[in-house]
Amino acid sequence: MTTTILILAALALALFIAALRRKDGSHTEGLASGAKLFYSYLPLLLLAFLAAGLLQVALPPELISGWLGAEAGWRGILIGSFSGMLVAAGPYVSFPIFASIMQGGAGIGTVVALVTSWSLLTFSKLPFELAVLGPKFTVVRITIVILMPPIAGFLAHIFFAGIL
Amino acid sequence: MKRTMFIMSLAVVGLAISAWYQGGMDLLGTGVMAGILMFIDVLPMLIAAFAVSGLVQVLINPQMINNFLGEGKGLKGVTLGAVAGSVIPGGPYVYYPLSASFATAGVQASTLMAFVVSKSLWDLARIPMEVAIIGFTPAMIRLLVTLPFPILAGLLVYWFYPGLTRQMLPVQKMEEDKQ
Repeated sequence: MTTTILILAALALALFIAALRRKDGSHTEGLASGAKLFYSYLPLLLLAFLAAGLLQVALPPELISGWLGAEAGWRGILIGSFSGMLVAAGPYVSFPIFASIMQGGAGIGTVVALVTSWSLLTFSKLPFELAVLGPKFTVVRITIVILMPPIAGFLAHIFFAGIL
Repeated sequence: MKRTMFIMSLAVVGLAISAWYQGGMDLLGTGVMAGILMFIDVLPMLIAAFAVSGLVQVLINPQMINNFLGEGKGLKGVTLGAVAGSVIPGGPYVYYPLSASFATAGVQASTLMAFVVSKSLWDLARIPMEVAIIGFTPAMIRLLVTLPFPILAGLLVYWFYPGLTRQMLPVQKMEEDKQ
């Protein structure tokens, strides 16, 4: 979180200085353009944050670890592929949950399917994507990535189940 | 734009009803507060992200972004999009505004698809955390089996959804503004 803001601020500053050195008013134009962009997206972003907050309470992450238990093999991969999207939380909350599921005895295929499903399909990112890129892009993306978690899980299970 | 507003509002109402059904006004209030707190928490980042977005728009002309992210060049654009997604730090409230400014500059939907999928799967800033919490070997296996996905997703858009670029919200917005 702090690192991200530092990197972003440094990036903004570097771009601002680059704009300033053009001596043609690019720096104010750039900031004004950013502000305009921000205002035009603000109503959608507010809705997105409301949706993200409500998701956290409507779908508590602990729910998922209860379902998965010690599932391994094909069944675990399928359950993992669909339950990952229900983990509506960022990496700081999600990875500890996945780690506890793995320690509970879930197979590598299950864990890989779960992490992939959460990465690609978590409900918590959807509001932002809808707000900024629009519903058509979101629908096409989901159509494309929906089979990736089980594929990743199967690959991990077939090739790596032996080494763990 | 209006359609997106409508869909988002429906989602919020649906979630609010689900929260209220599960835990009454208390849980609903907790959810709304969580959203507001999250918003306040990331506001500095949002402002920085939109400042970067605006400055990028002014500093880098569309031709440059197009040349760099390879307009219509399929695999090249998709690969560069995937690399950009892996390197750019920050959460969805950072990279989505950025992808909006890319889209406005003329970057293709296939490239942005690779960018977004790569951000989900190859996020360099997230890998250390994944290694630390779920372990080195499982994290590397996860990375290895999902390695081709961002480029594959981009290519699928390039081959099968050539019209998607014009259907993205930032591009539609830009055209509404022109009229």
